[in-house]
Amino acid sequence: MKMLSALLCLLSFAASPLLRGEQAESEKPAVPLEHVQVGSPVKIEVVPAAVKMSTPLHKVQLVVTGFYADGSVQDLTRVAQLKAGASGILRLEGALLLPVADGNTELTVQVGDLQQRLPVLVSGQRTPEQISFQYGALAALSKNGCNSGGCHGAPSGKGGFALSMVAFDPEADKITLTRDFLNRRINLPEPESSLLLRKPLMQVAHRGGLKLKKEDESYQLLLNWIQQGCKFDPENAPKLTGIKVGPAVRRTLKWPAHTQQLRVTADFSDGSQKDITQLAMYSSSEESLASVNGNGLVVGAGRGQVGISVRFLDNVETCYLTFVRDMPGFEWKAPAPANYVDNLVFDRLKLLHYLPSDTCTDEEFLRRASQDVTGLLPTVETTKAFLADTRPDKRAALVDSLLAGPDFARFWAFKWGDLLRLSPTAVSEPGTHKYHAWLVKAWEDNLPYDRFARELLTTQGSTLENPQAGFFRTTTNTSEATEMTAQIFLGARVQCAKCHNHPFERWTQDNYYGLGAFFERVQRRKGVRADETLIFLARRGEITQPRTGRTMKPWAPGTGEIQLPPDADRLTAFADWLTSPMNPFFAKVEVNRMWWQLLGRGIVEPIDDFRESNPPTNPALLDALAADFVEHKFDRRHILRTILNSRTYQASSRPNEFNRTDEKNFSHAQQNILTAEQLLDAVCQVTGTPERFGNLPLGTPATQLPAPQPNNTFLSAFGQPTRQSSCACERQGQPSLTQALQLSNSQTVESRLKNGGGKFLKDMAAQNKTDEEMISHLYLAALCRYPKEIELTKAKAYLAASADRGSGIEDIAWSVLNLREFVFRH
Amino acid sequence: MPTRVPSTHGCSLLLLALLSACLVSATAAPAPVSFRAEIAPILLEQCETCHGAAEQKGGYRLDTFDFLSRNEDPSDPALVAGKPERSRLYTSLVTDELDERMPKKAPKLPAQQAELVKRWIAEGAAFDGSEATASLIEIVPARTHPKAPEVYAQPLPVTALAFSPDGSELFAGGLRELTVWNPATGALVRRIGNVAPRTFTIAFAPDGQKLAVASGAPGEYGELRLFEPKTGALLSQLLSSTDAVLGVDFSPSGELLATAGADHSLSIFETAAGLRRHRLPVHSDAVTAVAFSPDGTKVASVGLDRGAKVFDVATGKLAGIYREHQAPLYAVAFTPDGTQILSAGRDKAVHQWTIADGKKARELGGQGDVLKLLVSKDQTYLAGSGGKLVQAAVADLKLARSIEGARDWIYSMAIHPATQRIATGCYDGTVMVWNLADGKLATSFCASPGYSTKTAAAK
Repeated sequence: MKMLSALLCLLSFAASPLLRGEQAESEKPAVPLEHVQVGSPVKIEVVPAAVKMSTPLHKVQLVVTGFYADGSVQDLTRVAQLKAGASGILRLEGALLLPVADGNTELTVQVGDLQQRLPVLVSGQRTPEQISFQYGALAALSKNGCNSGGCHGAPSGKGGFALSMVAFDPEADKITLTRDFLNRRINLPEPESSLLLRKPLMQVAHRGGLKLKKEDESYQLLLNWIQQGCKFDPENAPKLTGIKVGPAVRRTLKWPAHTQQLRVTADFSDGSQKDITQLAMYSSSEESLASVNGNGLVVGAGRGQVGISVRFLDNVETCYLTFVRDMPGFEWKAPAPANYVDNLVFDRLKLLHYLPSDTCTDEEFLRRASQDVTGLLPTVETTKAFLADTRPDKRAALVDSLLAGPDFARFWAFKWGDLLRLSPTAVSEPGTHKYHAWLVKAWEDNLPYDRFARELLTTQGSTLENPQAGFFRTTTNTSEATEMTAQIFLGARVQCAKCHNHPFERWTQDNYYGLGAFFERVQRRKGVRADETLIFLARRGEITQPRTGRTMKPWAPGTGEIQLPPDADRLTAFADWLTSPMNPFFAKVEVNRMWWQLLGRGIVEPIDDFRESNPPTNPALLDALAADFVEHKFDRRHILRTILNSRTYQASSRPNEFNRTDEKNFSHAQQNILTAEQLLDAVCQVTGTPERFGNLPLGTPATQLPAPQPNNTFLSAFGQPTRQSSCACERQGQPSLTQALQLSNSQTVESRLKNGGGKFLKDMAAQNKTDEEMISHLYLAALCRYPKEIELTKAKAYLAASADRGSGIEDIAWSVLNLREFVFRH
Repeated sequence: MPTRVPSTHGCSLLLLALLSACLVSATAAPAPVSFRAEIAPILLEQCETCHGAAEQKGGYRLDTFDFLSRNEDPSDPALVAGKPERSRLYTSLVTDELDERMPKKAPKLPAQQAELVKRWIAEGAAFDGSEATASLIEIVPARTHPKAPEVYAQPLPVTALAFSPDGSELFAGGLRELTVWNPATGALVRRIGNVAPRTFTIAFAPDGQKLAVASGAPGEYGELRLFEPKTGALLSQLLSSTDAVLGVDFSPSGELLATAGADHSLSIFETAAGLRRHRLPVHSDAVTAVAFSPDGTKVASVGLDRGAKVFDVATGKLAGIYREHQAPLYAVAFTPDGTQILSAGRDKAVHQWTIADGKKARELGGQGDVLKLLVSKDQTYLAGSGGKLVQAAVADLKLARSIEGARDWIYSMAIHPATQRIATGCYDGTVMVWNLADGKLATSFCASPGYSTKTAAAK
């Protein structure tokens, strides 16, 4: 668990260019900039409306927006003509204003016929600017990636020089930069000779390469800071209270408008505000949709919503932009919406010019829905009856019957077994069975999700009597309990914040231990009976933030510190907070998880990585599902039913000309390989030969197992997780050669077909089936459809030519089990 | 004949013209490029970090001429004498293919440097050093350092201090210089130039005739130079390395001298001959301090790798090792009987341990990061981030005295028992001289010439 979370933490670093310290290298946009077609804006708006520059390094970014008669907006910053009234007061670099000398003037901003004038006041140019250690020097090091996770911000630094990641520990950085290693990095009498500057300038060989140029603001800040004697910020210096990113409203940009200049300001405790557009760090949630350079210019390339995460030291804000583009020949047409899900999905598709695929066939629906809801293939009888059914509402009826059946509860209990890490190593063999049985019952009873979560999080006592107390049994300490709870119920990966502030989210180290305060008093003790663990709460016990040594009060995201009496039951307090209908995370995380389980991709993806910088692809849809979930008192079956009945769920997996490139907006169904357990069950069902799992009753499907089967080569080849982590990513869906070999050439498949078709053929023979009936049966069982004419003819011919019927049908069955149509959900 | 005369004449004229052209070009043509003086410095500065002894990216190293010219891959030779266009050493400097170009992730080398490399190869790629297997750093000519600043713009942290044997002068490390002070008055006596940018240890030879200076430009190069203390004349340079030399100590007889380097090296030299007797590759990070045992048979070293070690001087073999430290180390000293070691660093405690078994005998904690410690008679003195000068008896390592007064980290310390003085050098540039007897401050001065808080405030 520990290693895995460390790995996850590292993996998420690797994914971000920001952390690899490549910010400086991504200056040029990946996509060529389109010429701005100004058109006829009815109004232009310039932000800020008045310019004040009060120190020599105070730059101001202007953002010019055009408003149009049809309600659309576009960023005109790139084409706005700027002209200062008096010369010698300020300098212009595009729409970036730089102070030159004290004075007053007016700046004229002109786009086409429209004009706006702003007053400009430049002051303080004669006094040298005192460079703040935190907001100047450390911000400059951060901006250039020096203290990123892949460079000197790594736990042990690089080349013997270790800074705190993105300057989360300024106290340690103070020492490292100035005092440590015999004052190695700074040369006070001759600041330009400081190793701290010579290395990133590549005046001295630097393994990290060229990171700084002398004309960069960052260089100026660092140099001035050293020239001023490497002073630290006095206690009473104004503190950063927050940052603001403009445009503040979610903006939709329609091609050819595809760029947006951002403007970032920092607010300080003395009420002052400073433009930090040049010093903030930027990263895009989806590089294929839009990229952002170090100056805050966003360049859209695709269609869809992107979140641009803006960071300045500990402060993170996200700016959301939606890029749309008219597709030539696009004409909206869609199946009639079945419910609000379709309305919201179709709204999005229409906006982005994606066309939804047609509705899938009955055969496809039957197979898809059965496997998604129960994990199993329908029986041949069910298939025949469903295909013959002519009622218009037969799909809804099927959904109802699937959700009402016992296989549904067992399959979804099994899915939760993955999340809750049910395994004999964690909760013992009998404990696994008891815990699993509790989960099955919860799904059978349709236990509302708020009560489900509360049971898991607050149950104390013996795990023999209260198996749901196993929730804390699967964790061995506060950190594991905190991380698992956050991952499952808040959809948040907080592991990184254990050792340092989260690299791209607000989660700080304080937050991690504040959340941990809820779980610090959980005690796990061995009971007197075999396999018994007692879960109970100690009366007292506080958690300490290891870096600051401070005792942390219980803290919840979005709410802050929660005041509790000293001996309060903190688990109940947490459950109260978590399951409140007002909680902004709880319902969303679960509806998104259900959506992901049915559609193959979350509205937020990955499903356990909810953060502002990873926005949902369809926020309205996620909100509506969550609201519906809360309104229906956390009835999970209701949400599943709503989704299953939607045209969106029932869309064909065949793309059309206008949605081929869409992977995130649910315009067509995803084709996913069946999970290891589904596939094994399907093989067993088609061949009529169940797999034996330990001493479980013969016939127990793999999709209903209480715990993973460690020695099943078929299951491990197809990525059965060992339940070491609560991350959905532990289930590996990567295709491999072993998988191909398992299907074409393994004991698992062979033993079920050999000797003349095994049990399957013997059943057929016993029922006196004709060749044709036998082939049809095989297709219905494996693919939920009758064979096509050509398939039937060929199969019959093959059977006729075979030496014996047994080996003939064996070969045909083998080839059916190797069809993509069999192996995939479609 | 008449026909031949003009032709001969013409011929000789032509010859003359050619000859004079030759002469002109001979005087204008630059001298052949010197490998040791012109090429090796470029290689050390630009290439050696990734293609040196510590790391060999792409399997290639060039830290000696021998390695540089080996051409392990004949299909893609690094060096073809006379053919720069076929030598990777040159082509990789000028190519526009970013994947191929060296140094990686950096702008192109200045054209004149690439041109020098090209000319050197074109001229035959001759080696003008002493030994092809010697590391480049050892064959480059000794530097002449620019003059120290007349007036320091900001105070320089005092990282090295030493009393002259008679105690009448106090030497401090400055910027490209040593400054010499009167410890009684705090007056500047003289300045010794031609020193590397920063000095980390100053050690007097027991005869008082030589001064060893461990110095360098951190991250760039290191030097161990011997100076004549009175005249400031440069006597010799024993060591040139790829990072600063941090520590130096003479053996009691003065015959030997041990050095500690930020390049992870620990070496023992014969002082007079300047020959390296041992190079001990025993630390995996910078070696920060080194000390001879009172009998001169052993050397102790500590480093940022948290290791504290003792070696036999005669054999260079490990004689003791201590593994209890949890943080980078900066200071080391032998106890007067030579059987134990005092070592300390950023784990905020001085450990006293026995060489024979590597076991801790006692420790003194709570003094902050310890950057310097020394042993005089039966007492040990230590100082560091706490800004205090702390004294304890070696016998019990109990805090005997704590002298406060320094306003920042103390980086250096020197003691002169005969005159009863102990001096400390601070991050803020001040040197404080204390009376050993009563712990009172005798004098205090800023060791950065020309700098005073008044002028700084005026600025």
